[in-house]
Amino acid sequence: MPALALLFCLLAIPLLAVAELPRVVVVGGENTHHRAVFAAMRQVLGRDSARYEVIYRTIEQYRPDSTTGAVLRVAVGTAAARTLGAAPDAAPLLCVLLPRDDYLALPQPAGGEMSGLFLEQPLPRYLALLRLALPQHEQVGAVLGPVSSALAADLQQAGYRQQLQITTASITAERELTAALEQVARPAGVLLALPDPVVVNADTARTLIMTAYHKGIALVGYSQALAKAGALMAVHSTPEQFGQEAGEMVRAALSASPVRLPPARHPAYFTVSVNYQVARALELNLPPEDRLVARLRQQEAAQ
Amino acid sequence: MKTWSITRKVLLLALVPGTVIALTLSAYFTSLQLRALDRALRDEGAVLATQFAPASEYGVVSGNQEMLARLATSMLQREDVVWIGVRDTQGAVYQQVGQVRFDWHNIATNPDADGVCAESTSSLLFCAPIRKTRLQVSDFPDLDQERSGNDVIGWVFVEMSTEANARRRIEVIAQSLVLTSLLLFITSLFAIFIGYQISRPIIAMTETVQKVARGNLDVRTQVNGGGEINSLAHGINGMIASLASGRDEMLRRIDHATAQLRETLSSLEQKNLALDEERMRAQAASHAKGQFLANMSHEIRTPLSGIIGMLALLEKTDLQPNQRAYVTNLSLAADALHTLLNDILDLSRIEAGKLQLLEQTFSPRQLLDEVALMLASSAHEKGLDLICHSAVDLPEQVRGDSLRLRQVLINLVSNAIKFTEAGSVVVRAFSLPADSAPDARAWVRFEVEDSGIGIPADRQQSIFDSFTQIDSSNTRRYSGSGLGTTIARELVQLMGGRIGLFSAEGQGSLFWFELPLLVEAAAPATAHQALNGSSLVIVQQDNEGRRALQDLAVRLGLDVKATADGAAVAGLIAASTPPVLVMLVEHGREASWLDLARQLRSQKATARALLCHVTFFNGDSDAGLFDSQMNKPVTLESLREGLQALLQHQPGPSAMQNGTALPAVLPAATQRRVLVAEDNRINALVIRSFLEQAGHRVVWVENGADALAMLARGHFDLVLMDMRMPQVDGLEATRRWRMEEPAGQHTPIVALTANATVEDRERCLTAGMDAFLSKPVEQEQLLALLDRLD
Repeated sequence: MPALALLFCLLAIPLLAVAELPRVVVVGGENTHHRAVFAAMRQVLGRDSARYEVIYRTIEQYRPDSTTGAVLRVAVGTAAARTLGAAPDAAPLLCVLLPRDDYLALPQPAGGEMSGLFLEQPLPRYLALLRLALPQHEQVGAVLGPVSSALAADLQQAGYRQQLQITTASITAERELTAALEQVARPAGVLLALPDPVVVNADTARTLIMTAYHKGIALVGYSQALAKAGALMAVHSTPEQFGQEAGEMVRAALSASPVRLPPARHPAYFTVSVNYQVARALELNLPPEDRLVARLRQQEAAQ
Repeated sequence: MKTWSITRKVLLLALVPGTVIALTLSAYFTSLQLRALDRALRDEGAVLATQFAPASEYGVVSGNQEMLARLATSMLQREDVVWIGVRDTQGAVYQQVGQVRFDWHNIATNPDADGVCAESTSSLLFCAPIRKTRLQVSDFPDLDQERSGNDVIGWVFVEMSTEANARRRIEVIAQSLVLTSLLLFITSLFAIFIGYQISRPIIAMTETVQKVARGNLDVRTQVNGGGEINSLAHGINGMIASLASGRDEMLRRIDHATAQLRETLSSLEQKNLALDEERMRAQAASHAKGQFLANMSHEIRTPLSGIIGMLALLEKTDLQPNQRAYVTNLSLAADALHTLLNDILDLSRIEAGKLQLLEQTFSPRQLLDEVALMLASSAHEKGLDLICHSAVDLPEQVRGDSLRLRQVLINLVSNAIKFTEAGSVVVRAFSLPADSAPDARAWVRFEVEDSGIGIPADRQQSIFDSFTQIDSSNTRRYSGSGLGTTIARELVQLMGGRIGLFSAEGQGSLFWFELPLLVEAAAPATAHQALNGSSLVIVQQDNEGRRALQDLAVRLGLDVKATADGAAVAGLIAASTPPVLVMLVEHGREASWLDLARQLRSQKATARALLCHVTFFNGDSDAGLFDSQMNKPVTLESLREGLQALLQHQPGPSAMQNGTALPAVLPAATQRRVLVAEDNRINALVIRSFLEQAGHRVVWVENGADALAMLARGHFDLVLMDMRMPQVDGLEATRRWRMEEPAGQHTPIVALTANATVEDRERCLTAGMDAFLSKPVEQEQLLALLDRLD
């Protein structure tokens, strides 16, 4: 990690030498996902390096006064977004890699512009994948928690568009999960797991997966980790995809004068992960991941 | 164990270590196996519980009873598992299969290291926590909210029965015991076999040796033990064979020796017969010799008696001085010969068994006194005190042979005097305690003690043998036949008594003999009326003599006080009732009480005491100083008469009575006191007889030193000094006396010499002598010399 910081410092030296270049400050955590996101951003922005300077600061390193003169601020992760959102800087702020709810909960910066790239995939993408991968299933069950229950109407609407019958059950506590699953999953045969800390967390994941397995239900999740843990498949974006998209959003913002961020949105780039072992157990024959992604993109592009 | 047989010891040696090792190993491995069984059960229970816990997680979380029941039932198929239970943390029972034996609702879920949370006699209850499995659900983990707290959602319980294990334990122990017993049995059989292999030949050999010990040398032991036992058996057989051959050889030698012995015995028998004849012949010869000796002695004695009688007559005739000396010499020689003949005659009579004892009544005390008086002069001539001590308890009258008793005493006392040069000779007699004499006879012990040359211990046994003196040189130095002690012994034994001696060389001798004498009733010696109650003080240095005198005085009824200390005399006199008689008894030739006498005389308190001077018969007492004089030895009679005379202040008659040759007493004015210093006894006797016949008093000494001592003690009117004497001669003695002589006093000293040369005369006068006489001295010359002193 110190070597990486040194590398960034060395890379910054020629920029400092020319000075007076518009500066883009990226603030994030120390973990590898955030670094990967930044690396992907730099790769996108590298083509315009003569025009502006991109620097990375950890949350601890970030001080508002040091970013004076920044034309744009990028926060990677919820913690960075909260830190930058509360800072008195007026530069526009782009928040990346945070749940939509967290983004909406952020205070509006004082006089500054703010935009976001959400962690969650758009609901139609889940349902489109279901339609593609499991065309025989027309019913989909979903357990919604306190966070995700706000999406119930959107979910129904999106299901309608895909001609899927969505059955939902809302719970307020973990202990209600088993009963809720019994309620929604058995008739549907497919269970959609949407991000909600009450419904899907480290403790409930096993229950979800085991219940799905025991009942022969196909579980579709929102992360590669869920797919690996035993869900049938998942649609998600990789850090590189987030970085690429964030970089493109920054470039787009900087290309306008004055700087103007595009509106907040769900990720456009995504990946599908299939657990073929589970598929065999459920006696399902699924197409390859690449084909699924390509078909999804085609559908989204067509829309 | 020491008494155990060899078989038992071998068995012990073989079995004990094997048994101990077998039992120890068996116990050790059995316990290991039992522990392993227990361990296996516990491990199995722990594994089952820990495996069952995650398996039942989903069932608990999902509340899937059916799934849990299925899982539990499948677990129950395992051997030893008797019950399975699952419950959540709230205590709600989810599922249980099997027969529950524990109150598992209330069992604390704190298992030990093996996972056991409860235990009963027949089962173990294992438990394991059911933990919630956490899975990663997000690709970006930092988004996950950290969950903390207890993730245990329930417990599984597995009860394992220990009954099957107990059965297996019993099986293991039983197998171990069977195997150990089998091994021990085989080992025992082997040990017994080996033990008998060793002990049987040894027992056989022992029996053989015992037979040999009982004398059977024809037995042999079997050689079938192998190894060292065979060697031992061979050795024993060889030893028996060698013993047998040795015994045969010994028997042969014994036979040979017996034959030789028989021959020797028969020859000895013949020799004995011959010796017997010889002895008879010798006895006859000895008897004949004794008879001859007795006859001859008697025959010789008869003419000798005649010679002695004639000599006595001859002495009384008018003889020239030299003739008188010859006659005296002759008379002494004849007496000696007579004594020797008597001794030989007595001995031969005794040996020939011809001596007859005469029983007569006599007083042993008187007998003792007589012997003492008889031998006093010869003792006094040598300067010896002869002390006669009759104990108070001595019987007054006894029956016995007084003649033979007297002879024994004379022999012993004569010997004592003969072999003593200085000091004293003590004759004592006393009764032995009554129990010594079982019959009516009383045992009287006589002792003769001297301070003479003594007898070496190795010669004391033979001193009673005939003709024995302690060495041959003594025979020359001390005259005598050596028959005295022999005759004494023979006589004492003849009288039924016993005799012995104590002696040490140079420290004197004590001859003793004890006789059984029949005591005659006699009137008790009554005290003399004149003397009864009178006070008597005895002053004498010699303890024995003082006691003897004291005993005599007590018999006379006197009030006696005795002391050896001159300084105490005045006090004793003062303490006594007057008139006080004082006996000053001199020691030997000394006159040590003269100063004391003068002192007593000079003091007013003691001036009136009556002093009696007791000395040898030398007549050297100072008549002016003493009230009377008494001669040694003092007998009861002489004491009585002397003291009576003293009380009347008259000179006692004892001096006249005790003397054998009584001199005519001259008037005091003309009586002279003469000191004769002469080493030749015969010359001295001659001179003495000349002077005493003329009524003078004579003190005789044998050398110059004694002469000087005498001169220092008292006044002498004349000194006759032989020129040649041992130790200090006459000339030297004269010179010394002239230097010591008090001023204004001049004692006339006349030399006696056989060499009347001019040189001798000169030397005599130069030494301080006044005149000289040629030897042999004539009586007229002597008396003329005394006359000239006036």
